[in-house]
Amino acid sequence: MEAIHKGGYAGLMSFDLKDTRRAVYDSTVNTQYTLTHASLDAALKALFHPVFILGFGALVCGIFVVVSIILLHHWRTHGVEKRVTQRAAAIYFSGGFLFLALLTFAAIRALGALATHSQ
Amino acid sequence: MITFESGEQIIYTSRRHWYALFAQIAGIVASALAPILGWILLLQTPVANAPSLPSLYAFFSISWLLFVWIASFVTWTNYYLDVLVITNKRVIDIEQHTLFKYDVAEVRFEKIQDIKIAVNGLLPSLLNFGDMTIQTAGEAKEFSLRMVSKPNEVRDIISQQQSILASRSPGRAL
Repeated sequence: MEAIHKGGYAGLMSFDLKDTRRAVYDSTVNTQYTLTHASLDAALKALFHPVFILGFGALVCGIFVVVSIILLHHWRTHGVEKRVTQRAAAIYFSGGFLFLALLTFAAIRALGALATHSQ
Repeated sequence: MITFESGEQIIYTSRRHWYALFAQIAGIVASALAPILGWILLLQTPVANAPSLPSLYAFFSISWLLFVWIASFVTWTNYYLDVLVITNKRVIDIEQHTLFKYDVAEVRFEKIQDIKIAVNGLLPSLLNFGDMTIQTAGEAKEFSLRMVSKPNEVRDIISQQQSILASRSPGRAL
């Protein structure tokens, strides 16, 4: 009986120790993991200020508009057939506006992510 | 871009071979795939699950894709405006380098002395394109055309037009 008690006690002790070691290990790993992500997010937040995101988005839109005007000018005045110009413009602008819509959506999400994390 | 003379008619119009465009578009497609490859590589690193990283990565990837989209149309425009025109009086070559840089060269049939075609390599031979050099009697001694589609056909058309011009004015030496 005593032996069983001792064995049970020893088993309990060993289980407790193992469990404690695992808890300490998990805690350490999780702390490192959290720290890594926290430091990365802090770095991202410092690097990509919301004004930067908005400015970059505006710059991309501006470049799209300027290049569109130049391309349309070339297509209309440099000997591209009217039918080809219409087709090219249709493809170019449908794709371009799709990308702009996606860019707006992505910018909103990026701003949201930065704002959420900064709280 | 070209001002035609009175009575001048277009006989043949040709652009560079489609392979010239294909080679550039292939590079653009590879650039478009770069963000996907970048994300796959980023997933291998321990920082991939940072909360704000996917949103920021998507934002910059879409910006990149928009630039790639613009670049593809600029490339196509440069290709489309790069044109060889043969009229009943002259050969005109418009070489569009960039959107704001182009050369227009022309040579009259009576100035053409010799036409040389160079088809170098397996792909040009299979796809029937090559470089064409026209020796002229003018100040510009050489008139070079790169990646001309069906160069033999173009040479035949030029020779044919030269013969027609010679038969119309037999006194003039070509």
